[in-house]
Amino acid sequence: MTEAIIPGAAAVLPPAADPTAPLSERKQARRENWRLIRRRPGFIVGLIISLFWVLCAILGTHIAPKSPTKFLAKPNISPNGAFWFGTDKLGRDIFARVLVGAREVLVVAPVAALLGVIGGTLLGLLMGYKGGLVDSVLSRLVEAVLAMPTILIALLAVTTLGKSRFVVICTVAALFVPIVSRTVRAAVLAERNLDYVTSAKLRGESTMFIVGREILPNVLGPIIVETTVRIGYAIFTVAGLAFLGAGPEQGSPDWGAQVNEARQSLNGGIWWPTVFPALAIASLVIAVNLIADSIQSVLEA
Amino acid sequence: MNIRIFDRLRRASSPLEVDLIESYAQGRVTRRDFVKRGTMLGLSLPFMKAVIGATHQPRTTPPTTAGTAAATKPLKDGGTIRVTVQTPAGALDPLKMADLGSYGIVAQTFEHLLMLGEGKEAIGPGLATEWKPNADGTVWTFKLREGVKWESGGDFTADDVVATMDRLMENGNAALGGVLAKGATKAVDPHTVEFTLSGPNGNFPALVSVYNAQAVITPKGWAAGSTADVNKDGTGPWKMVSFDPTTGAKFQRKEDYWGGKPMLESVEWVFNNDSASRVAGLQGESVDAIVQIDVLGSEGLLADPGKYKILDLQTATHREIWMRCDKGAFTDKRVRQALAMSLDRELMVTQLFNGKAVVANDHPVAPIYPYFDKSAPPQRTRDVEGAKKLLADAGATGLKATLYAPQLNEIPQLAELVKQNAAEAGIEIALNVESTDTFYNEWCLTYNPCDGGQDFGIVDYGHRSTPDTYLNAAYATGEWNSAHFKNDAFNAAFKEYQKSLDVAGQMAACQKMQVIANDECPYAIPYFYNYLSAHSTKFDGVRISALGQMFLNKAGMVA
Amino acid sequence: MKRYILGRLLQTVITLWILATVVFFLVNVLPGNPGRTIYGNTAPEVVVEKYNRQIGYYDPAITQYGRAMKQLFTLDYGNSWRFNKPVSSVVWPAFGRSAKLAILALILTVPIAILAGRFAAKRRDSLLDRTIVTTGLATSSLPEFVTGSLLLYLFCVKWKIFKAFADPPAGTSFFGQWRYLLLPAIAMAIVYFGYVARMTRAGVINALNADYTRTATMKGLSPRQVMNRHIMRNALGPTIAVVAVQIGYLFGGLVMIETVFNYSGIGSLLLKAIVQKDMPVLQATIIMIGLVYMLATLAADLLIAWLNPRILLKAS
Repeated sequence: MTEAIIPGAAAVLPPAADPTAPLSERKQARRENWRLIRRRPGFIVGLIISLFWVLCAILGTHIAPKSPTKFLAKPNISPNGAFWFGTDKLGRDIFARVLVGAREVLVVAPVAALLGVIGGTLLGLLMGYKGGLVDSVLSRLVEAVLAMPTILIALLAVTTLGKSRFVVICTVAALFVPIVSRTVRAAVLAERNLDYVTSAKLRGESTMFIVGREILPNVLGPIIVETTVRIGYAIFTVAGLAFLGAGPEQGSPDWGAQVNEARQSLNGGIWWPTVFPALAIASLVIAVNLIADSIQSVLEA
Repeated sequence: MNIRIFDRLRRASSPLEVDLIESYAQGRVTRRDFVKRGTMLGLSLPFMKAVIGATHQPRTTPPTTAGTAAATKPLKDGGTIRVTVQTPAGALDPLKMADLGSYGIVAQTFEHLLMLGEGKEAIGPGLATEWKPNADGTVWTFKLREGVKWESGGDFTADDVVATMDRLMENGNAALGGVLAKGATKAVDPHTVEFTLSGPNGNFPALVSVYNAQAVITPKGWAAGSTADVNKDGTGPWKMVSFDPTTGAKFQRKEDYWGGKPMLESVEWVFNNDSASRVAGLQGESVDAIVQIDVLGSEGLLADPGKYKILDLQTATHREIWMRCDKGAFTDKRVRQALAMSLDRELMVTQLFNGKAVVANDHPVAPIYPYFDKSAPPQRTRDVEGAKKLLADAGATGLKATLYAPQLNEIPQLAELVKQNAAEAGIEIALNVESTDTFYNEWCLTYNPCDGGQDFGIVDYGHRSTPDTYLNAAYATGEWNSAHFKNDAFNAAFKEYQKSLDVAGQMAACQKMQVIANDECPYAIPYFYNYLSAHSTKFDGVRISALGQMFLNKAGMVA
Repeated sequence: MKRYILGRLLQTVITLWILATVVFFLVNVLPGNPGRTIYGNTAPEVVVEKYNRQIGYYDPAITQYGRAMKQLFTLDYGNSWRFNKPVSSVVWPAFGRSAKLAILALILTVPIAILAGRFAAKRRDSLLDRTIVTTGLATSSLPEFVTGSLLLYLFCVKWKIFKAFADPPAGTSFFGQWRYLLLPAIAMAIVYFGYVARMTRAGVINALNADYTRTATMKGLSPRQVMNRHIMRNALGPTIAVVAVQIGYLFGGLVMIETVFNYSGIGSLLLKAIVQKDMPVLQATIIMIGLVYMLATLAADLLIAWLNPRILLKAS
């Protein structure tokens, strides 16, 4: 999937709560926002689904009624009473594998997204606030990196540096930094010339203070939205890496890897090893996006 | 048994041939093996039929299946067949190519001295029509086919063969390494070639057949390093019209091909590196044939015999799980045996191949070979407790290792099964599946032998009509010896095997090697699997070699 | 306006130079021996070294960098290590194929998505709006290879409506080629539709709430006139930017669709180059994909500036 680089982002991004208001008022505004978010049906649905998968990830093999790794039966049995999602080509229970696979996804994707957002925020704050030459040079660097095809650069990194989870997380995070920095930079640009910043400068506050305590809280909204969106992309990228052969260890119940291994049998009408992990991916991505949308709608209003 | 005819035939034969005939008459060799062995010795088909007729032996083995059979349905002239295969891994240099994609393409325009045999014989006359060894098997004389022309119009002569062989041995060749030296090929006359081998070898003809893919005969003016897509001048039934290393190749039939004008007008090869896409292509009618299919993933093809003809060859294709013998965790042979004992071979045959494979016994002498000795050593069976005990004896309880495997056919699933099986015996295995490019190209470029510096991995072996290549390259002195196995008794037995020209000698030597290989277990070999190929029933007469070569000169559209 | 164009052009050139430099570092950091790759592991060391010397493998870094820059200008990257053929002979045809597919995907996605986004925004929170948003969300929640595989099975294997291998045979008529390319294009369209539609929707909603809309309505323009004359030009800004990024992506990131449909585009070429460590092809493809991306974003920025001259003020 593509990255959200929007020159006119400021127009679409939520104007934050009144930045000139004293702190307690801001806190109250935030609490009010949170209450509004909580009530939205999209948010609730998204949260329930996400929490379900998080639970699966935490409980791991304990939640699965049957073993996800043992070869229990004949291969390619279609869904029935004993095997709700059928068996895969080695005779393993797909239902168990789908449940346990949540752990693979949820260990890698959110961490990569979070790291990418942190890095991108720092970079975006720097670029947006400093402006001038620093901004120009860094922007060109960011553009250059964005011009490279994400998934293939990720593959390049993994083929060279090894297939460990650590490498995957770092690579995906590194590829997200430029994208997030763009969004943050645009948000910072919108804030930079506002009165409260000027007054803070006049007061003689240090740059760190201005950026950290004045500007950052006001751009937190879009950052949160960006984080949730990035989690969706991270899931995609990791699934894509599995497809390209740089996935987790052979035999891992990772959803992307499952779909990739099952694709071939699909041609013979054996749809269940492909469809169920695919639905799992879809449900998680939809859930994450629903949450992101809800937050964005409330912050926009 | 017709004694008179039998005696007459026997008196007309050389000592080697007599030995073979006797073995057959006494039932020591099955009819199928007699025919195979006889072909190797250069016996003609009518002669062998006469011997068979004179001895009235009951058939004891089922015939090899349809991979090499002629068409059974009436065919019509014209048409194009589209075949899909993996992209050739590199340039089409016949001397250097090492992947099945390249073998298949080169085999369309270039040919070998021995090609696929008719009917049940594995190999038969190709560019050579007759071949005979001398008394001790050190000098082989081949008679070349007359009237064969290169595409450019020149005649095919012995000089071409001499030049090809010299070029081949200068470059190096896994099958002929140590067997034939550069300069040891001589043209006796324009249609006779004499090979003086480095040592006696009873299986030499197999080593210059299609099963030594690199040994295609190229014209004498061929420069080393040339590729088949640039220098297209070959003797084969097809002319290369176009070649794009990323998309595919097109061939046009030769009207004056020595084996008869092909019925199909053209052949189109489409490169495709994704097995799911290849199967979808056949089912979706984008292509008409797939060179090789796996059981896992071709369920749609196997379930519809009315639409897809499956060529099912019982072959010697297998996987070897190498365990490095001179350093690392597997230096103690008890550890290696323990791993081998933990494998559930029957499960592998059922889960991975749905029965289209046979259990193997940790040596590469497949049951299809005439010198395979079933009696010794006894088939290793799954024994988890025994494995645990061996590990304890060797002080290796709680062993941890990383198993490397290429992303090829069913090998990743095999790796998973090995991991599961070994876990029950207390061996903890981590899996690392690499792309085939890394595994074969990169590792073979930088490491000799091609083991990528790893102690423990799975490698695949394509079919050969004799086990010489496996024994030489993997166990003895070759460049595929990933296990770094060095055993003097084995090497001695191998030399003995190479020297033997008679069946009994070969069987005896083979048995020695089987026992050593099984006991020392540098490679755990769990199965020999059937080589499967699939094509649409709109076509018939397709022949394959189990080494990626597809022969289409006798194929055509069903009328 | 002219100043803006020149400024953006300069930016593009600089970015391209930076990209070429980054790629240069990448290629030199990765392990790989060209001579050995071409000649195989049985070749004697002398031969390998001679070849490497010939192509300048042992030259000092500065010389090699200079060569890389020259290559950037001439777009001539020498010979592929794996195939020993000129890189251009492999890259340009693949590029052409990708362009065909990308254009078709764009034609399918963009107009429909923009229209859908516009309708959704106008009837905000209605059933139609909810449906469009949810559909967009659902279809773009599956990675392309999943969508592609499912479509492949249904439309090529089961119902045999389309062709499984998307590469049209040489000589197929212009309209005949559609039968081959339509399905992969649809697979891509499905994944990106949601994204573009939601962007348009957000842009239009924003514009609907803006001052100039109210001004225009008060001036007496009909809703339709307001929509077409004012709103779309302003709202399309983010949409155009997103489409531009997608153009860049459609060239490089399509590797999954290309694999599923056996289409030899530039994505799978780059994939092969990565796996085979074929550095010249790797360099050439990354630069070309990058170039497409930069040209697309440049065109998008110019288009947005033309539609909405106020941006020019902000940029200066």
